[in-house]
Amino acid sequence: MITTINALVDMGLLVVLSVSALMLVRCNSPLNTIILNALYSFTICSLFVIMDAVDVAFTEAAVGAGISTVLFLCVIHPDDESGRLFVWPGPLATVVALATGLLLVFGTFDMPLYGDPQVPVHTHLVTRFLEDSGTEIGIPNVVTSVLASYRGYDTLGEVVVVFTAGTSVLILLAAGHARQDSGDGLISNSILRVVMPRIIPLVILFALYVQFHGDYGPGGGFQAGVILGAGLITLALLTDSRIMQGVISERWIIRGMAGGVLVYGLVGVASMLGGGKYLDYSVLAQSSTDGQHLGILLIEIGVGITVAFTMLSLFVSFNRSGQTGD
Amino acid sequence: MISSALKHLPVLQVVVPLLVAALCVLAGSRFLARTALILTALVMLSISLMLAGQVYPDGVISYALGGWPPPWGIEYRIDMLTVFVLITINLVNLAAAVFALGRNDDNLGRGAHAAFYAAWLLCMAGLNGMVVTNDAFNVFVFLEISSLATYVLIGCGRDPRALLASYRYLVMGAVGATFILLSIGLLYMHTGTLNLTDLAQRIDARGANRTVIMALAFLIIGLGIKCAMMPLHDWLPNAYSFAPNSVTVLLSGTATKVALYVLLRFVHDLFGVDHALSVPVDIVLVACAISGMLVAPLIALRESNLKRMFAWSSVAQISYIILAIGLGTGAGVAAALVHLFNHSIIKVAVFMAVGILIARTGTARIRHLGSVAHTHRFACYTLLFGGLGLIGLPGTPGFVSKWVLVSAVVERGWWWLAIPVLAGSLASAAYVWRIVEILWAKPADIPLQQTRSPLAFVEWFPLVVVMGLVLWFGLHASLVTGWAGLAAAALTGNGS
Repeated sequence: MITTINALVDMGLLVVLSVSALMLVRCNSPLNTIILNALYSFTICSLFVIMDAVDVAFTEAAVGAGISTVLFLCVIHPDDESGRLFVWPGPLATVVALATGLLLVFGTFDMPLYGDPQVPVHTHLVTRFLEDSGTEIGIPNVVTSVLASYRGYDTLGEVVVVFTAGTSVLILLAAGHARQDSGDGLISNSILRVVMPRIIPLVILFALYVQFHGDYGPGGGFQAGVILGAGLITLALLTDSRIMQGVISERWIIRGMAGGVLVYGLVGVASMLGGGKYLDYSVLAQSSTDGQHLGILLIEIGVGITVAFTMLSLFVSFNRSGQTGD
Repeated sequence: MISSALKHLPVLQVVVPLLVAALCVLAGSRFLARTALILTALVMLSISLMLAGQVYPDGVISYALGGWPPPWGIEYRIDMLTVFVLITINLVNLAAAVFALGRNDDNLGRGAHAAFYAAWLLCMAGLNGMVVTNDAFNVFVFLEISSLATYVLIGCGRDPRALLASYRYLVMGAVGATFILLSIGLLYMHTGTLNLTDLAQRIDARGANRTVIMALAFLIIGLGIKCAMMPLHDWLPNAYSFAPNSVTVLLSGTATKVALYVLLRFVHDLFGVDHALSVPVDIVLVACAISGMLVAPLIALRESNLKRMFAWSSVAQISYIILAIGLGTGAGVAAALVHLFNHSIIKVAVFMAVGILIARTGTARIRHLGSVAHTHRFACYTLLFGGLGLIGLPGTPGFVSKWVLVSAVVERGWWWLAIPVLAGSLASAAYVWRIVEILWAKPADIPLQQTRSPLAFVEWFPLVVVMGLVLWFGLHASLVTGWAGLAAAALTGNGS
């Protein structure tokens, strides 16, 4: 009975997913595209929850449905409805796309069944992660163990991807001029003026909770960084970023981006100096699990710093160049 | 201390540029960033050479990141093939980095210089990471780093069309990366592992099915885009011609070459070319290569922009490497590596000369460059000799490449493939002759506003060094061919 209901919910979500993808392709208005994009992210996020991949779902909700929607909204003009975004693809493109689709269908015939416990994914490497990470690393959340320690170097790479993206935007938008002051932001809206100052501290507090709770449940630096970034962006939107400029200058936002990467990278250097391999946290403290705890704590902080400051930097850069575009 | 650092060389190869890039952004100073770029490039080349010194006597080095043994953790694995590619790209990087200190033809806003050099270092960190890793997902992560950095480096070109070229490459590159990621996901689904050695064994043991065939197809499409294999090459000519000169030099010798290396590694190690799961991988690669060898030089012949003409020539030359990979034999792999190195140094010299010419004459249109050889002798003679290398005349490294390639083709029993190889060389001769005629003999069609500023040290010095290498390796081929042979043995002995 439960499996039937699960299957029905799965089917329903997959239908929503396909329909929103098709609508996204056909969409002609930038604003609707962004909304549909958020819908798509949110649907796939729900699917992740059903698959018990709450960590992934959390990230998708924060990044895919959350902050990228905000950043997209920053760069489009709400009344920019001119022109048709959608054009029918040419015959060759149609054939290629259909052939790729057919190849995908062809490939699915030999895929393992969904949820089958005997497939290699569940029997090869994962057994060690599930059975031994408790003693080898000593934290309950296996996802964090894999992400931050067993495959911690990949995660360093992911943080560098975020950092590279932030740096790229800086380079490309550096030609923009100083921001013109454009009024009072959203503070003139009385509802926002009353509600938001009460919510933003809670958002920042929640970010800290997510940051440090990653060892025990879904969470960690990526999600916390995005939530913190979103809180600060909301503050900036509310006050036309002048308060933000009083709190932190653009120069320091950029330094923060690089600082997080350095924190992560230097933890690796510290473990080399301690006699281990790069990012081997075991050598950072007396007992190896203490070392793992310390290492994971530090690198997650590095991740959080880089992600939060990159989000903020993207917002500030886009916002500034959007102003001068008028 | 020193000896313990030597144990960490594989990871230092990647982490040094990565952390220096972060430091550049942190410091935000143009002067510091330039100094850091040159020093880091020197350190990276030294690390590659030291790794070669370790691998040559001792064999394969395996470095377990995080102290987790493979296949549970991520493994860096250095063999003769790895160091061959490492030395090639880090040599190119050093030359290009010095060249970048000169007139760069870029469009950087105030305060963006430090970030530009950081992006350069991130690009190289990504490329080095793709070469040294033995982990499928780690390849993808570092591919993302290098790709993102490459897009922005290209977008810094002075011509506004650089942004459009960069954006087109971004879209194509993102499609390619998606295919590669899908492929890695499918392989993981089939085997439950990401370590390449483990993957190869488990694919062999479990046999192939339709999921694996799809993974192979997606992999070839994705990497084909990244290395500009003929029908998927669309991004390359504009990206190369609108990028800043130093970036063109860097990319022509590194980015596509690393994609080719990954193609070689994945296809050979995981699947084996000739019997690849009853899928005719060899036919596909050879067909794409032939089309590139024949079509690209013809387009180059009609091209009006000097830089884009040599970009088309890159598409043609990459096809020779793909042909050699498609042969699927040890000799084929060796031929691919020989040309990978030779083409890198020739193209680096050519693009530096082109950059110097463009900076002095203010134009890249071939028609406007009539008779400039009389005023810009050094750059034009470099172009001439590089062009001869692209044709493959005896005495140039290009001849060595063609010789090894034709031998490998004959050994494989596909002697008729020598015909398109030679036809491609003839077509290259045509476009090289065309520019020689214009640069030396044709009168200029408009009076150029030439700047007669003398060559700066950072412009002529790297060019002289690279030209020296081109001349030397044209006459002393045995070092490259011998090493490529060892590297090919490392590859074919590893997987299937």
